[in-house]
Amino acid sequence: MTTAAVTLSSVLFAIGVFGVLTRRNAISLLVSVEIMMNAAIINLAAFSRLYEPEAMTGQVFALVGIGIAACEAAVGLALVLAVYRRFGSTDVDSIDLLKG
Amino acid sequence: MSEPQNVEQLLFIAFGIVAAGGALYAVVTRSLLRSIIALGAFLTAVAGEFYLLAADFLAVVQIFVYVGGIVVLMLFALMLSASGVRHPLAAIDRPALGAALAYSLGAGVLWGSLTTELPAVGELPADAVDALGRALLGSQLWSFELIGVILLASVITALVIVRKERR
Amino acid sequence: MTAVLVGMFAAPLLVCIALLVGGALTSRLDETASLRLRALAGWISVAGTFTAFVLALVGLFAVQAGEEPALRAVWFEVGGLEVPFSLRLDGLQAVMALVVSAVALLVHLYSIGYMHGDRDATVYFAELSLFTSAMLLLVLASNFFLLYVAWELVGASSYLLISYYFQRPEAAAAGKKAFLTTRVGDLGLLVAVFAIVSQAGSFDYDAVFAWAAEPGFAGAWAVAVPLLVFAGAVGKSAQFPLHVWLPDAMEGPTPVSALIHAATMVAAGVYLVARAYPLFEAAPISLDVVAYVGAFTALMAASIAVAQSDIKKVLAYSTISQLGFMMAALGAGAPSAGIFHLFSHAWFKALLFLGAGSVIHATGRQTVARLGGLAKRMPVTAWTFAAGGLALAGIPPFAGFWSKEEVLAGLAVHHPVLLGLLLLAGFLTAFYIARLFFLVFFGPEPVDAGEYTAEGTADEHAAAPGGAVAEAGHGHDAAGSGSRGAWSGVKESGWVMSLPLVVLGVASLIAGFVGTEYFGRPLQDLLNLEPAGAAAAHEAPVWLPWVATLAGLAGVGGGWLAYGRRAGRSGGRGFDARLEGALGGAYGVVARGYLVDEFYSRVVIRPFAAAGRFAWRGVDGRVIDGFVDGLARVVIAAGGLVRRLQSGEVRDYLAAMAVGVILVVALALGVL
Repeated sequence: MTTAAVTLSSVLFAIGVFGVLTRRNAISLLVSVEIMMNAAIINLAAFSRLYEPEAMTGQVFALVGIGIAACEAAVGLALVLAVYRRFGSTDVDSIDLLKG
Repeated sequence: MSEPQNVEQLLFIAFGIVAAGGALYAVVTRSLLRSIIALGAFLTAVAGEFYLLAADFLAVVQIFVYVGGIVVLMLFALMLSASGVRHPLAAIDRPALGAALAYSLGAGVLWGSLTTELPAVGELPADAVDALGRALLGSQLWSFELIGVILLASVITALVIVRKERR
Repeated sequence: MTAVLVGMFAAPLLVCIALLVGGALTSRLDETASLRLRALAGWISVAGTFTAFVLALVGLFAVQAGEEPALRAVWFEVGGLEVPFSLRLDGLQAVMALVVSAVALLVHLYSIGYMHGDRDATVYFAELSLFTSAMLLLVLASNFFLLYVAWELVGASSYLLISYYFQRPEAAAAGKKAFLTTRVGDLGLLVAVFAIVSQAGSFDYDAVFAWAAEPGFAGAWAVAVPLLVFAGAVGKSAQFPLHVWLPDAMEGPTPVSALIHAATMVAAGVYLVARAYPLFEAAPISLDVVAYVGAFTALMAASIAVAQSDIKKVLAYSTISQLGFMMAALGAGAPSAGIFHLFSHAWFKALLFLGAGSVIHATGRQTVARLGGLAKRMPVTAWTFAAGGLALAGIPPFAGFWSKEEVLAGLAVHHPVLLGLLLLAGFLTAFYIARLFFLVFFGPEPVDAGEYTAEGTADEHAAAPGGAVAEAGHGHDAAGSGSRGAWSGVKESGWVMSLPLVVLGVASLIAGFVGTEYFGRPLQDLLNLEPAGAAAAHEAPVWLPWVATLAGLAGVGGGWLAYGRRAGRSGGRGFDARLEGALGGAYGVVARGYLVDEFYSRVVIRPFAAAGRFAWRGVDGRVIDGFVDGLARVVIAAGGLVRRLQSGEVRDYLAAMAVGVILVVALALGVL
């Protein structure tokens, strides 16, 4: 089952990357990022069973990871809303004031 | 003896298909609303995976935090930013580059994972939740506390960012 | 005795430094102190020059008594070569020092009156003292290195003084021209000094002369060195073809012309040849070159002087001509005659210049056509000018007669052709100086004599911006618009200016007696310059002094006939017009110095300027600037390329990050 888990994780991660690079909407970007994060967390959970299962280290870090993901989603969405207020749009491509 | 394993494996694959399908749909669809709902489905399937990986507590937390929290958060953001269904921006741009990079990254990681020697599954503790609790407040206390601090910090951050600008 | 030697050049130098420092300190800070310094500057510099003069007298008497004052110290050492700082006095150098300091003293005194009210008087006297110091150093030096250093210093102070009225573009250009033209000659002298030290191994005069006296001294260097030295003399003493700077140098204040460009600096070339005579003696062909150049220059310049309409230009060409006389004598094997003529010429030429200055100062004009009839109003100036003129023309018993006779005698034996040239030049000399005298001091007063700047109006000088227009008031013919028909208000200059005129007038009368055979030639004995066995060559033809005097009288008489006798309205100027009419275009060519300046401008200056423009635009502009600009453009272009990475697009950055992660993964997997 470990191999299955690892395979699933890679596939989901790839899907997430595709989404991140492709979508123009800021919120869609965050959705894709969440997909990526979950893929990583699956990996963590799977590996928890392999090395010292009593210590549950993988699961602890998976929890931490979920916590971090929550924080990131919160702050990210707050940023999206602030940007929306400033620019009137959530199109990531239109926010290019730092263009060199 | 192999039957429970077989069932588990079958279930794992099933949940995996749902997860991958949901993720794919979430990433491809033009409608942002549907994308978020698909994300919800994806997250639920992942929770199922967690359960099958003997991480029950993790599965429940996943449902609570992700599906119950983050998905709702995203729906709110969707509503507040008027990025609605017919918004022309809910579209895909430069799929070729994205596909290429995603493929290479995914393939690389997969190949690396499969070629590495992994140990067999170890002896699982009898009470997983109990062991998890002990770990959180015992050997991993630092991480536990830190995550609390980070949560606090991000809440404050989000509040500050979203504050209406005062003249 | 060392104190004498050092003090002689140090006194004026200290004055110069003091005036400069004082001037610098007061000019911005304290107005009253600055004015007071200006008033005193002249007297301070007179004090310095007087000290030098007294010391020169002391030195002269010491040398006469048989002493040989000398000072030697090592200045510095370079790679085994010792460069000494050494001074000395012998007959020649003591006489030169006396002439320089005496004329300098008189000119400094005169300048107090002439530059009265000038705004930059402090600087003027500082520069004048600097020159005096440098010239004295030149004649006191006893090694070629120090000589060259002083030579250049003299040139530099000459440049400073010529362009004193630098706000006038002509004055600035004249200073440049003087410096650059003499530079050409100086280059020859420099190469000669290099050759001397490399061949003889030392800079000291005695050592070098010993080297030249060796029996084996022959070959290319033996001829080249004296010729190169002579090149320096040609530049400094304004001989053909480097004479073009001297007439332009008349842009400087007249006392400067008197001191530098008549009596002392230009004489430095003559002194140089006389001092380095052993080098010339060892290569007789070099002496021939000197003689021919000198005689040719003498005649050429005398002919140009006849056609000049500016007082100072006449005197400038006259100086060139007389220097030619001196050079001819040196080249003919009679160096004492040349130095004797230098001695007497210093007095009467300085007198003539200072007299001209007196006229310019009183009337504000210096063109002959706008002057006339000044003898009644400025008798001292007029009659001292006459004395100087008679001396120049070589009329006995004035000084010029005796020295010119010695020069002619020196040429008679070996260079009869050159003798003829010089006799002709002597006739022309007398003619042009008589012309000048009669046109300026006699004849009818000019119609518009109403406008002038009197010497007493100090505020006119002070009010003139930057002192530049002061000389515009000091000649260059201040514009006249009234027509009172008389020199009302023009009067003789004050005692400060007239005293030097009188002193020089007396000198022009009696100075010749120290060198004539009738008194035993004490000057020549002192100089001790004659090559061994040349005493016999002084058997000049008996008729020579008579012919010379006759030529002089003929010139003066001709001048009187042409310019002095007519008392009509046109006065003497009619003759010039008739001469011009008779000669046609040739007159113009002569008046413009045989177009030598035009020749230089076309053949030398224009190609140089073109080369300079090419170096500026073509090389510096295109190549160097192009290279630097090109570098900049490359950098900017590279920056432009790099700038495209900063697209400001979030997704581009994400893509970059993805690529980075791929690379890291590949590295971790060991693929890369």
